[in-house]
Amino acid sequence: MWPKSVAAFLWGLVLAISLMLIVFRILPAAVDVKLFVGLMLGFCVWVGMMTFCYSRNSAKAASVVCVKWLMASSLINALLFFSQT
Amino acid sequence: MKSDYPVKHKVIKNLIEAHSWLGLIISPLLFLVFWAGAVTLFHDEITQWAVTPHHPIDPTQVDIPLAKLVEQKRAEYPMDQTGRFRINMPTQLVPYYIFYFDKVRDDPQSASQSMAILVDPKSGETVADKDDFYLSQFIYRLHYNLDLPGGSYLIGVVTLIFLFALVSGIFIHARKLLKHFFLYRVDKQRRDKLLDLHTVVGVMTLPFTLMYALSGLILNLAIVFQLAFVVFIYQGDRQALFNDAGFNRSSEPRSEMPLNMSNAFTLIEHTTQQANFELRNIIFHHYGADNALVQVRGTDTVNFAQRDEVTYRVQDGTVMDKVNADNYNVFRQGRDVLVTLHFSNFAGLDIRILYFILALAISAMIVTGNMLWINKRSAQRQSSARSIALVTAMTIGGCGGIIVATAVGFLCERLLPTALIGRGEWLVGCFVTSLLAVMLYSLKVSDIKRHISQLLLLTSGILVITVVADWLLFSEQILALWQGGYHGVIGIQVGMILITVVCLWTASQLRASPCSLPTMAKNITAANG
Repeated sequence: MWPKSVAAFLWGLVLAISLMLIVFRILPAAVDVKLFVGLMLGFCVWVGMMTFCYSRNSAKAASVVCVKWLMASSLINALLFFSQT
Repeated sequence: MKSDYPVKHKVIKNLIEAHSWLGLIISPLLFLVFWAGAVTLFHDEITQWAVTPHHPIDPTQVDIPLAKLVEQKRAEYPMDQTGRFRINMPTQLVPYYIFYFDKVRDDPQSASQSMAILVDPKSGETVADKDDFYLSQFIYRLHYNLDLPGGSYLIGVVTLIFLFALVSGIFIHARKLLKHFFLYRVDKQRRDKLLDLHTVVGVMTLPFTLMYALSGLILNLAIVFQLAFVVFIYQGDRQALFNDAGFNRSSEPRSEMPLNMSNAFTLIEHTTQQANFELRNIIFHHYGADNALVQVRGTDTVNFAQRDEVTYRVQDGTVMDKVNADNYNVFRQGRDVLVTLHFSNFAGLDIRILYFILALAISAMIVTGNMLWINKRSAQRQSSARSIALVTAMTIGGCGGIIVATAVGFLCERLLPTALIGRGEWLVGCFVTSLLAVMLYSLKVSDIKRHISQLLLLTSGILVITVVADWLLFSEQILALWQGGYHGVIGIQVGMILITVVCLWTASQLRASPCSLPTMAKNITAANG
């Protein structure tokens, strides 16, 4: 259970941050609204990812999927960063 | 050779395993958080119970003007001029001003010392240091940071796991959630009763627990997203993020030119006369300098969770910043709504009693979760007796110990002399010692039910002694306070008596029922072997 817990906690955190950065960059709203939505949704995504990781049979199986999602979200983040600067 | 078929994940089985494993690990801290949170709902009443019998307030006397009081205290204490200076106003529950300031130490090289003092609004006397009557503050700190440095992050992680436990619980029970909603099993095995209690409380309190988990995360673990946003969005400019989130702070250095501060008190008076405004506290920045600011902070008594704040430049009365129902920041307002829901300070005593009952029910749910684990493991032949004993001690000793230690805390708050140096540390020491003593005693338990009933009887005894001590030491003051409209002291006593009655009733029920966990485990082991 420990490997799964480490995977769940860290993948949840990294993906939540990555997805919230995308939300912050694309949400057409005032900055205070985006910050609040980011914070609320961030924790929900973190726990959602933890639930996903724990529902897999092994930490490795969970990590394989999370790596793919992280690569996709990082790519989108990079594109948004360079398109907005 | 690689299989052609995708691996099938046992989602529910995996989630059940994670739910029980994580639940078991966080259970002592989670119990402490909910128990301390339940008691903290009556933070101000406990403060009144602790302080006012020692320092009664005479409501017939007139308050000293605030301006005079501030000058008096500034003359009494060498205040650090660079720091902020905050005054909490007296309330019906805590009828003293609370002055927060930084005091300059005798050694000019060392950093200034943060102080909080209670001041009688009628006589102007310093009643006590806030930490001299530490019980309510200590229990509140236990709730959010265990009264330990860095404890708030630990509690944040516990809250995150609690939110996961709620979400996984929903998945686990999703199919039965509606179908079995009204099912009540009365004649089944003990495990079913425990499971029913765990599930029913979990389902019934779900909106409440989800709100608590999410607001708790925002209060304790928001730093994670704050750091991410500062690094990736704000390019390291933390203050810019705070400004966008509605937490504006003055960054002006203190001017060397002096200023008469009488205009500050005129501005405060003017603000408090607004309609639907309830003054909570005042913050001075650069007090006595010609760039001094005064922040007048209150609550809008009409709108839900709406702060009403205005910051003035004292010299000319210019409004520097304003937050009210017409001018607000969505982030700060949203956070305020969650905080208000979390602390239930939007309503009266009735709602807080409801919150208290719900928090106790969740505490019971946490304990039953562990009991289910112990039952399950006791029935398995290959289970380690040591791990079962450890979890039993953690559950019964930890949770029961917290209840006993809280009662000890109340007794110490009443009996420790007010002149005792480090009174607050003594109180914490007694709390921790009694908690550890119960935990150690629980390691060698032979009959769990009997042990729980003993702990409940011990708690009842300590609470009765506390109430008796109240009346033996302060009977005249308590009656005078009641007649003066301060009902917190007798209110807390009524609460202690009600808890005593519940403890006695539960203890008698436990003694009447025949079966106990280790006994049951032994029977199962004997039958298997």
